[in-house]
Amino acid sequence: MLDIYLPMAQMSIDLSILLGIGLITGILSGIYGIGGGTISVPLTIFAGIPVDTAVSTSLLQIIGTSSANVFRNILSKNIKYSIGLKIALFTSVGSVIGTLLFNLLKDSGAFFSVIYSLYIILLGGVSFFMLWDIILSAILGTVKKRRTKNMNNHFDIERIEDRKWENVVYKFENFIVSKGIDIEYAEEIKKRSIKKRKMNMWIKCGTIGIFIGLLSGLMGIGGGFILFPAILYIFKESVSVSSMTSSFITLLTTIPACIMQMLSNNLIDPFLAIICATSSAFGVRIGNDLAKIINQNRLKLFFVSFLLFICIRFWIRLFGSFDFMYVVTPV
Amino acid sequence: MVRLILCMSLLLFRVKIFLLIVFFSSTSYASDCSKNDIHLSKSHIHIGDFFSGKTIDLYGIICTGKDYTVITYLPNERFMVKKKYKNRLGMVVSSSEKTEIESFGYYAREGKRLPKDFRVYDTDFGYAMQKYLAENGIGYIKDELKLNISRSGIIGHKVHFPKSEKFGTYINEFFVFDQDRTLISVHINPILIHSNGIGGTIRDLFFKNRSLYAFICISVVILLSCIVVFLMDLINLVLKGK
Repeated sequence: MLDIYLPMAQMSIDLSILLGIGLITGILSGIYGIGGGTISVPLTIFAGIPVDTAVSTSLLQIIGTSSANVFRNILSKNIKYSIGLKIALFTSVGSVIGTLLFNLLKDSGAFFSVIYSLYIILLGGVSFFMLWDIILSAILGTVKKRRTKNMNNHFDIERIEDRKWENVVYKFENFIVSKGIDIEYAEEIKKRSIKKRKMNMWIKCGTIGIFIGLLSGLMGIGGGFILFPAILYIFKESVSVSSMTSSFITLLTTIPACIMQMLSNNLIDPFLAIICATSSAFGVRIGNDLAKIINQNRLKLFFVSFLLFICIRFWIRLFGSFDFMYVVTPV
Repeated sequence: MVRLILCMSLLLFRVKIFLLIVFFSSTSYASDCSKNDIHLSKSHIHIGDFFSGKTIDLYGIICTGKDYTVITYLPNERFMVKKKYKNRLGMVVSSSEKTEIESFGYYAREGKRLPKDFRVYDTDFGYAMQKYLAENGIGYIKDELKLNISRSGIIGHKVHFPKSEKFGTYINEFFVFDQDRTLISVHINPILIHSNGIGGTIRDLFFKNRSLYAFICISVVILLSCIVVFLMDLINLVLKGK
């Protein structure tokens, strides 16, 4: 088909391959809600694009996909700016450090080994936990349904999305008063616990932020697959809020990393990023519709097998040996 | 008198023949040939927005009488090659007589190539060249094929530049050795690879003004993604409306 020349990657590639990569990334993002970087970087590497170009250009691609998401929901209440800005402050710092590490590794010659190893660990870990979850739900799934049915009949279930830490503190205060403890003492305890929780909040934001920023700068991923469960379980927000807030944080993380990459290297290819980002935008819609149709366990199994396939290919690239690439034949 | 004239003319004729033989003999013809008779061709390759590789022809003349080894070079450093057989070197023979020669292939960027006084005395040239190139970080192509060329006449040489090609100046060199493995002459064909089209403009912009390049890239990606998402929302609304 049409061979498009990537000016910064300095190579030609079939346009259909790029469109396919973007579409697959978008579909998987739409189904599983994970970021595009985790999927698009391995796929672009397997398509023949140099590893450093693939990692750097994915940052620009993630800017495109996450910005569209954020601008659609900017006026809605789905983005928690208080959490988002706090985490984004640390992720920006982390992404700058990650980019510096990227440049150091590139000059040292250990770049490919480190990137391949990180992807194997990351994707291998995610697929292991998902596989564990699939096995557990397959074994215990029927038991859980019976228990929730009983509980619904006899107890008031508090949904995890409604349980915010302020409510927990107020309930604690009421509990203290009900036990006859002095209200002033209860107020004192409440203030200390609020202060401790605010400090804890900054520590949580800092830890998550620096970790995700480092991964973002080094591996070219947005960190959405860590941010989303972190906001959901640690900060106790709802699914839609977690999803939009993680997009917001991803956008603020990848912009400084991308700018640093552009100023220090000539690796970010705009053609590659634009083609993949626009085709993944189409893919996300298809993925959203597919997620409603296909059975959840089958989706999980497919995703786990896809991740394991990428892990194995990276493993082969890291530890395998290659034939001499060039062969000369008479014309 | 007649006999004298006849003898003189015969003598002159023999001298003439002798001179002709001397003039056109392989020894003298080879020495003139080795100095001047390999044509230098300059080639340009333009890489635009759509590029599927290009094969160019380079020509030279090889001389008769001795065992010449013609060395040509093919690409190497930082080359993205997806499969084997991507880079191809070939010899096109335009004359009828054929002689077997060995051919080694690589080409290198300006500044990185075999030195002109590279000589091999006892060891095999191919192995020595590979060793030298490997030690100096220049890649090489291993080619053990024996190709046929004519003893005299034009040799055409095709070099295929694959899709993964970088900009800059490349050098294709003909090294002519005699049968004692002494390097007689080196002939250089420069091959210039240019970029044009939108890709070329983007590269130029990057090297001239990186901040502007960063601003334009990020803005364009954000704008295009938002436009695509907006269009998809519109299509969704229209479909739901129906």
